[in-house]
Amino acid sequence: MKEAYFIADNIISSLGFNTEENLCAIEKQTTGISLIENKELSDNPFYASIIDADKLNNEFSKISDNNDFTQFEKLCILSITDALRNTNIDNNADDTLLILSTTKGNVNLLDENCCPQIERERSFLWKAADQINNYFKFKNKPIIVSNACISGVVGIITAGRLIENGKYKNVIVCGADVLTKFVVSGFQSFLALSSTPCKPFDINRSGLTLGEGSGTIILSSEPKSNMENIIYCGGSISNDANHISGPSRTGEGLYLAIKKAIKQSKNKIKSEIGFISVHGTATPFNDEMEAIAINRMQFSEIPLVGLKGYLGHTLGAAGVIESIAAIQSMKTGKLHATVGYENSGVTVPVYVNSITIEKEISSCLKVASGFGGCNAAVIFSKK
Amino acid sequence: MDELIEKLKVEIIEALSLEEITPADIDANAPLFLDGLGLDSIDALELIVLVEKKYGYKIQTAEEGKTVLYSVKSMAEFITNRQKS
Amino acid sequence: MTENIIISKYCRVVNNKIIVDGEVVFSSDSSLTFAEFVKEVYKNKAMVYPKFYKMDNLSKLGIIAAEFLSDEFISENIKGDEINIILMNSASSLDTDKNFQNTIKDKNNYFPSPSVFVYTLPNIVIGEICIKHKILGETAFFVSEKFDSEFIYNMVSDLIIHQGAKVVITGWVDFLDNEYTATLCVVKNIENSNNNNNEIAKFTIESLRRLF
Repeated sequence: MKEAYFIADNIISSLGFNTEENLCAIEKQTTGISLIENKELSDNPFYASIIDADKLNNEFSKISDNNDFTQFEKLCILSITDALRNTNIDNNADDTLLILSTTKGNVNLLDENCCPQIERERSFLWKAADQINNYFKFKNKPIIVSNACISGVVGIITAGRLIENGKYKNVIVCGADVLTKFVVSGFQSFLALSSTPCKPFDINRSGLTLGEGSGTIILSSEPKSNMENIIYCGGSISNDANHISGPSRTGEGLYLAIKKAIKQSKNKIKSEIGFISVHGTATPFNDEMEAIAINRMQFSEIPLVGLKGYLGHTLGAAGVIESIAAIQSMKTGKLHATVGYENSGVTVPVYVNSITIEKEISSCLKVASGFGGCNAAVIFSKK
Repeated sequence: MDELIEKLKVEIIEALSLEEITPADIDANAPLFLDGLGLDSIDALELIVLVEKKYGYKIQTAEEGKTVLYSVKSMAEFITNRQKS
Repeated sequence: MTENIIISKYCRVVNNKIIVDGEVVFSSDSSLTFAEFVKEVYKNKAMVYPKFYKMDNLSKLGIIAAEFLSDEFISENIKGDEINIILMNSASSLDTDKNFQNTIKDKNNYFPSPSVFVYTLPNIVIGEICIKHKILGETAFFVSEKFDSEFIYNMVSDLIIHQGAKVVITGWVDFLDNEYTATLCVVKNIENSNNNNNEIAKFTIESLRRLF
């Protein structure tokens, strides 16, 4: 079995257009969430983390003068471009693959008033993915993951396995979703949006905050020579078989996913797990379910880091962005704060990290859960 | 009130796709969410939409929802009280 | 490594017909709508599962196809977390996305429906199949213009060889604007099984291509 190394990444969000800008703000505990008053998204003001459209278009104009791209496609193209910048990947090679993780892609094209110059067929995810794939002249057809809020983590697990099995040398995983009226109204109808910026694991949490963004992480069977290498150790997915929208009350599904991921990783992981990058949506049931699963694993002493208080829930991008932040934490030795968290609001003891601290970390666990009862767990470690 | 209760039963069956249930199967005083109809949290949310869409009254919070959506009768009372005020 | 992996059963749902292992086992008049057709299937199979009526079209399609395969994956020798599901389609959840869009497009009739919204993710069909059959293993949904035999082969064989999967339900479930196709198959590892297994084909990229 080959090893899968994380060789490059990018994050685009309200906090910046590359990994460094985002991490800099996160280390300073600066949130990208603000009160949005935009009638095209919602009649009532709501909290969210959004990317300034002019800024996005301006950044995009630096790399292309082609305007035949949607906001979603631009986010993906910009993110992949920046991630590829410091690599020497041959886009046209047989062993290079793009994996795109998204929940809704260009769903705003269903609104007939949205971007009339764009062909409607691009509401098909594969059509949007082709658009992105063709921009980079990747030879292989892209793989598209659309698996609710675990899409990003599933993308990374898929990439890890394809590389370990020697199917590809370089796999570029891009996760992205944009904020649309479609998604905002849906979560509002679920009474799931918090009336304040979200507060993961906190006693006063009352729901999630939405966000938009993209993240790209590149896995390769070839390590980078001039930097500390982080590898994919193993990952697992599970289903609750309980309810299509409500998290399991026992945490059984997530517990199973974590247990399998750990079992798979045992020959590759350098040390005990140093921290857990949680899903932490700040809905009452999600955080409680995660806490129960983590507690059942007897991980109550391991610090938890949740990033939804900075970037909101970026859906298909979340798993990729949060994995990048976790990997960066291992490299810099800075454990991020769970912004929004003050006092524990879950019924079992867990240790939520609430301020940025210096800590030597050699390995971490990233988890995610989503609608459809799905859970995912993935483990990264220093080589 | 009885008329409203009967009307609500029909609307609930339609909104929640309760294909195998007839209005006569629903006891207006019985709790909607305990058993019998097999309703879940998504159904509760859909009933909140129903009350607003058909009657124009917004249930503001999940807490209020619990009281109003206790039974068909409590839904009818909520609507009648709003209509009076 | 893969000689012990077989396709043990498949089910196709198309043109108001249900075909299992190449044989038509149920058919309705082709003039029936999908909703009418699946209702007939539901009754014919004597399913007692009122939740079925709440599902969107994609989930109904997947549930029906899985129903005809369940005797191949439900067994006392197979635990829930040893069963896995990997599905693929072209239209993602666009059929339901359009329905949801209709609940929000008119400013004067703006009532976003939570029971529609929850189905605006393609992997919900997998969730529904898992709930019905108590499946706790790996589940993932991928989108592709056409069925990608090579990718599915890679993912399914990795699950069986490296992740301890005994059974993988895989295939294509696509629904858009009343056009639909489902082809699901049961892939099994028969390494440690003494039973006489129903075998349609060895699990290879070629056999997947023939099936899809």
